[in-house]
Amino acid sequence: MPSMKNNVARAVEEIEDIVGSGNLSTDEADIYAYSFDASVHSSRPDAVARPSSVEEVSQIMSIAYKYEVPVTPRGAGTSLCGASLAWRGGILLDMTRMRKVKDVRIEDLYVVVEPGLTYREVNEALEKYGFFFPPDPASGDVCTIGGMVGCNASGAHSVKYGATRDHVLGLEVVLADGRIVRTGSRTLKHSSGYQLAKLFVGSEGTLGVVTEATIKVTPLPEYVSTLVAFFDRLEEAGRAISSIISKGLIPYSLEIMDNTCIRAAESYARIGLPTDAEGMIIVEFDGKPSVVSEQIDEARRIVEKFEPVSLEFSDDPNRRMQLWKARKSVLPALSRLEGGLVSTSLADDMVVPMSKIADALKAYNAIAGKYDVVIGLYGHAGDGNLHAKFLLNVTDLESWKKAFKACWEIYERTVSLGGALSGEHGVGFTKSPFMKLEHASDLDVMRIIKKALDPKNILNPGKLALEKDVDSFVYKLRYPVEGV
Amino acid sequence: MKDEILREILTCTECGYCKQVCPIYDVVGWETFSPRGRINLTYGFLLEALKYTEKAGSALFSCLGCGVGEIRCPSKIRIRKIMFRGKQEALKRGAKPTKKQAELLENVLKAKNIYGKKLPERKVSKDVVFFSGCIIPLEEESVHKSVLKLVSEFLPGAEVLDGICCGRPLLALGEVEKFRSYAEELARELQDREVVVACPSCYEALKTWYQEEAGISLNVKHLLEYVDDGRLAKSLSSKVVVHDPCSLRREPDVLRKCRSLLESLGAKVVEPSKKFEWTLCCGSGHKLMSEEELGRRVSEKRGEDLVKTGADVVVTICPECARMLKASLQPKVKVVDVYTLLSGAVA
Repeated sequence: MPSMKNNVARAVEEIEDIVGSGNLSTDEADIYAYSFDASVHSSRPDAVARPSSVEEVSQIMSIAYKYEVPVTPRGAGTSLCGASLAWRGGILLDMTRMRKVKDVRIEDLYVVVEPGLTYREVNEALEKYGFFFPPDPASGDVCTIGGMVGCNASGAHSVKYGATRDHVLGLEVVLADGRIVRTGSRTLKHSSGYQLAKLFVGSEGTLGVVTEATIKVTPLPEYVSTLVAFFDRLEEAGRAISSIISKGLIPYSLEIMDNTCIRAAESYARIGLPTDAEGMIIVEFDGKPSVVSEQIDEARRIVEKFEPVSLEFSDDPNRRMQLWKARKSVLPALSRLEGGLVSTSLADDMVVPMSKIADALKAYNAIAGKYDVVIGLYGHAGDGNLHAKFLLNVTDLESWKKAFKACWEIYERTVSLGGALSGEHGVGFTKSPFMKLEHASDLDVMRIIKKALDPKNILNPGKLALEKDVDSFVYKLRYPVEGV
Repeated sequence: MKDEILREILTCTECGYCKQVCPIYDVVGWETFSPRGRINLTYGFLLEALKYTEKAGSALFSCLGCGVGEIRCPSKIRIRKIMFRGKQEALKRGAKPTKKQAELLENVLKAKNIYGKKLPERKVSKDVVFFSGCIIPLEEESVHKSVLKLVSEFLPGAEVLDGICCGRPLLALGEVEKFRSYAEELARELQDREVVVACPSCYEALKTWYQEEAGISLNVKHLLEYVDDGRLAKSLSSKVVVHDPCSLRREPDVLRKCRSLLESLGAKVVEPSKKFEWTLCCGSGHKLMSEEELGRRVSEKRGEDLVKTGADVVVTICPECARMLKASLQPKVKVVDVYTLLSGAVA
């Protein structure tokens, strides 16, 4: 029986013949550069390959299957939970050479794209037709379609238009053994059998490698108007959001930020946000100007009941751009806020029923207080999605241990409120320890599906707790922490 | 954590937003050649977690130092400071500058200009000094004449300090300590005076890098700030586009002044998609790009963006940008420096 290392070496040699020497590397520099994503972890692949076609991906998978070598697909490497890291080494597939817009069919309301295109590039291609792919993740300038499909990404406009899964009509996927399957359809609906395309969305590369996506497109809004409100209590901001939704208003976006995030956003964007406010919401409506105007008025009446400190209205595209630049900078900008504390993604993506937003915010802050950890809370609260960024002394083991306990309680509380671990970032490795909290009864089913499609466990192994329960995320940290 | 650069790297959340704007990543495509990739290579060296390979050196030295990643970074990571350190660490581990870079370094250290040309020692005595740098006077004779004409017209009392390198190449090639000594020596001449420059690279070095890397504060101004548009004759009727140099991306007043001066000449100024703080590098990297082919590809991309405006003339503020863009755009579109246009219009 050849050793694992020999298997990798043989696989690498054969894969090099497929992609060409310029598109495969085992150089230490490349291995190291690809051992990071936007998560707190780091893990080195044995080789990086950059395929350019589905045929190449298929051949790579056949080789990897033969030698039982792990393969981890990766887009821009913006995963916040380690989904794009080669946890067990093997081949890291950098999919960013596959970046064609293959077909734009506006009359059929879809676009066919390769996985390495960025979200922004897809929307640039659609703009001239007056259409777009709505989810709008904060990392949309860099994140790829493959990554969005992998983690079922969503964003600011998902409250109205849904997440990536709601837009994926069909996929081309390479399975673990190299088989190419086309699943889903190019129609807006279908009822012929299992909805396998929907299953692959959010599977984080553990079931197959996505090589093409057929995505439903939506007309660009004719007009957008924005209402921004600031509060002296965060829970009031949360109640305002629940109330807007319960009155039947469906906003284009509905965001929340706490004081920590307001300060972080302002420090980056300098757009005049009041840094003493405890809560801020951004409410937007899109459509015909007259209708939008009525909706904004109605939202204002609702928001005023929660006694905001101040309100701002704007339909000026420049002001909107400023506000969104500030909002989308929150995650990284938090790292500059509290002397020496670094913004980390640990309990970064909870989602709760809309009526529970205020309860969740209150609970998260109480838990942070209990464990004496600094958190910044923000999110697409309109669909119940809340991000709690932990600001940590990342080189101190005790800080990590404390953070883990706080995360455990945050996730327990989230699940008890009827929520889920992740609204849009996925599970990767970081959230693996908490899978059993939410998926007590169906994690086994996921493991059965994984085994059926990837019997040799070569596709992005080590993620989603698909192999076994995981006890901690304090593992393979990318920071120099004594004792890890 | 005592190491300032290591602390800076730990602050980076690895969000990857810098990848979107990096001109080298755009043409290479490997993470290793992105700002985030290069930051991580530096991290690997500092943690002793990465063995040096030639590719690590190539990736670090491929950084153009254009600074656009810093503009995009929501954590305000000082990417270029990290790159200086990364290159320094690479040199310690066996990285070798290219022949051209090595020559340039040696020339700066021996002769105080990148060409190694022996020039007489100069001392300055006046309060206002025009610091011409070395590229314009020693490589671009006709541009230099135009610059000096503008100096004599608009800064009549200034003393000209000609042909001396600002020291930036030392820093950009990872010779951080040598840069500090060089800066300290030159600053003895320049401190407590008004230092006016035309070369954007010198401008940024003297204003920003002297402060950040050597703790030296100088009073630095750009020549365009002194040009009085009331004394310029209408001499242009063309549609022009300004290519903003990387080194001035944080100086909107100078860039706006450039446009208003061109309008005073009668030109119709059109704008490229990448301008002001978001300007795209010409690919030269202050003459220090280690892989010329990569620089050429960046230059072509920049050229495309400028040509798309439909302008007849591309106007540059930096002599190096002019050289690069002439190579990628002429004869399709004329490339000319702003000093030549202005000096020709002085009434």
